Amino acid sequence: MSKKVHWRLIILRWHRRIGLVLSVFLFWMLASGVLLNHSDDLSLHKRFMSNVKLLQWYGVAPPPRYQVFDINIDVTTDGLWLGQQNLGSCSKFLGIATLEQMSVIACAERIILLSNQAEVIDQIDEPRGLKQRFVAMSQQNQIVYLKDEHVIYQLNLDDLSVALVHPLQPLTWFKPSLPSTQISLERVLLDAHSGRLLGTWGKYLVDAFAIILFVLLMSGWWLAKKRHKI
Amino acid sequence: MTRMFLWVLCGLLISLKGWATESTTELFLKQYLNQSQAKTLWLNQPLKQRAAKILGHSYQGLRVRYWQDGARTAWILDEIGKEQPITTGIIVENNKIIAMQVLAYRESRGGEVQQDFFTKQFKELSLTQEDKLNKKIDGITGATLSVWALQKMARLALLFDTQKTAP
Repeated sequence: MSKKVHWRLIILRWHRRIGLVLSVFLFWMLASGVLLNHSDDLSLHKRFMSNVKLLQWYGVAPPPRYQVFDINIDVTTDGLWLGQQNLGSCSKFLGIATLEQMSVIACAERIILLSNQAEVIDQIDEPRGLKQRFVAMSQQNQIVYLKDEHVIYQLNLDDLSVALVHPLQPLTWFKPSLPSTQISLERVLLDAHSGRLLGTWGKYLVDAFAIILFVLLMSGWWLAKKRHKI
Repeated sequence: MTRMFLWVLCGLLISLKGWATESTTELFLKQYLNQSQAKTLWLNQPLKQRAAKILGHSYQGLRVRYWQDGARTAWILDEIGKEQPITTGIIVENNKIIAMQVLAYRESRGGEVQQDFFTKQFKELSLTQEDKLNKKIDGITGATLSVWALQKMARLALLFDTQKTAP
């Protein structure tokens, strides 16, 4: 005597199992989706990852980070960041000169003057009339020196202009650093949402979850239909 | 005839060399100001507050560099579109914008704001009592943030111009 197959019970059991497994995935998709939807409001594109392991996962070196009056300065390919302010491009970071009442940050193509409260006082770059492209910066007492490929300049802090100078003593130049790629929290969330965080196979995994979710929808619909028939 | 052609060619090359060594800003200033004098405007607290209201965030700097030629002033301002600063030159005279030009555009999208058809809309605009532009600017699909950034800079230049010192 053959045993009667109860399809409804089998499907109900599997519907429950799949639902339980998928709930973790769905919860993640919901959370990351909501966060991404409010990315601008939460400034997720301005929050950068500093976790070394995560950066290694992306194959990038941690960007050079400096501190001025307790505020981080990150030198990235997206620009020079003072906290969450993008101050503009910085193809080569030349250093920070700390003076009595202010600080000077120099990049190859930009000079920024900061107050003691880490507020930007002024900055100069090519569109504002800076003609030189510097390669190094030095500080001696309260004087800031910059040099390009050929000559040495002294920085005038009043108007951020530079004047040719021949220092009597040899100067010690700050070690420049090159910018690195920053990985924002928005990028990590986007990659996690789409599955790309796990590499090429990650997106196929998300596709597989989507198919399973479709199966769950169909089985739920079929079960509801059967129940109404009874 | 050949000699004349060579002379013309030499002249053309010399002027081209001169043009190539001048930056976009220098060319922009030269186009609108005859004898410009570089000046600095220090932002006091009320001015900072008005600037912050226009920008939606505090102005990045305690002083602003500008150039003046009589009643005419030139302002080079930066504002973030989406991720990168857009550098714009704005000429103001008698509380009205005379010209506007994007000097450096670094965003990956929305570059249409650099075109003349867009920047021409700012010509002759002035500031209302609420620090807004007195005329509506037509937006560009796909460049909304850049359009907003340019509008903010135009308002800011008009605001700063009211604080300029006597020539």
